[in-house]
Amino acid sequence: MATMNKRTELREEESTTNALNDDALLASFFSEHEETIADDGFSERVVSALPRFERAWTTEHLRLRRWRIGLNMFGAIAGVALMIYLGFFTYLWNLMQGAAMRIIAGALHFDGDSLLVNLLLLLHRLPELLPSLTQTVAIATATIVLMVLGIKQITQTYRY
Amino acid sequence: MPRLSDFVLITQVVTFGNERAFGQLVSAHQEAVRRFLRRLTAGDAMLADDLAQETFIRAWQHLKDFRQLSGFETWLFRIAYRVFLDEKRKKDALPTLSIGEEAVTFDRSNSSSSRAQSAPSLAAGAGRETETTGGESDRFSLRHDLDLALSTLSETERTCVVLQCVEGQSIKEIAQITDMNENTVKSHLLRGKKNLANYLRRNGYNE
Repeated sequence: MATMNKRTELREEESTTNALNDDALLASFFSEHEETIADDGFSERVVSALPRFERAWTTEHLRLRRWRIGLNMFGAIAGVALMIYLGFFTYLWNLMQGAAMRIIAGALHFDGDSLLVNLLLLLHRLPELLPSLTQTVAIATATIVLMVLGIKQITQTYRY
Repeated sequence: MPRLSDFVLITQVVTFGNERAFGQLVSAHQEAVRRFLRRLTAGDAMLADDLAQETFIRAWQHLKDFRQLSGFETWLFRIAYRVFLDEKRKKDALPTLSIGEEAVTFDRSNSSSSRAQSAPSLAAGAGRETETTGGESDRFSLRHDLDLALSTLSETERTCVVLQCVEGQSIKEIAQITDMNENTVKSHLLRGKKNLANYLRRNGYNE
């Protein structure tokens, strides 16, 4: 039994040594036969032969885009309806009408302070009034227009 | 100009279809892919280049499916191996692939020893080349020797040995490339390396 075990061990040892010798021989052979291949225009040939690329996300992108357009339209319509419902346009109209009347009346002293208070009040109430991005953008645009008008009026007032 | 990492280039290709980025990927990996295919096609450089081109075109078409689970080069080798097998299936009717004056057959049996005995010797191959002089002929001779030696192995053994000894792929990566399990790869490697080493010794090649 002991002799058999010893023989098996010897055989395994021999096989491991042979494998290591083989590895060393092959490593030497392959390193001696190492081949480098220059590009020589291969990459250009490949690129010029490429078929039209189909983007991975094209179909999905178009589907998402349709959804996004739909949602935006819905948001814009809902935003305008909400603004009408809350009387925002009436408020805005009155504000602009008041400012116009003052201009027409040629008031020497434009009430810039109250305009700023109104704007601040409007901005303060924005979160309550505007849950969507579309509505925020609409209000922000209107606010900027009003501010520009106000600033223009103030400068004109102080010029004379 | 420094080359961007594979990941960045792949992202550019997948997102924008950027051909220039793909060109950089091809340029970076063409050598390994072409060399691998040359060894599989017994040194037929033209055929190997055609297959390499097909490999990169398939890579371009399927890059969106590349999940980065393996290295990009391993993925390319996997495609290259598929392309080679497809080509081999197409050419199955043709019995031989010629390299130089010798005819090296695609493996059709599982016995490597019979091939090893019938294969032309390295000395004979090298002797024929000594008639021509210069660096180019030396390089050709070396490549010829290499392909003659590899032609004594079965196709699977040759693939595994080339991937490990020439391209430095791990057993796990070779298993991914060839769709075999790791134990099978190990067994092919062991047998292939032993047969190749024996063949080299018989033909007077020593370390």
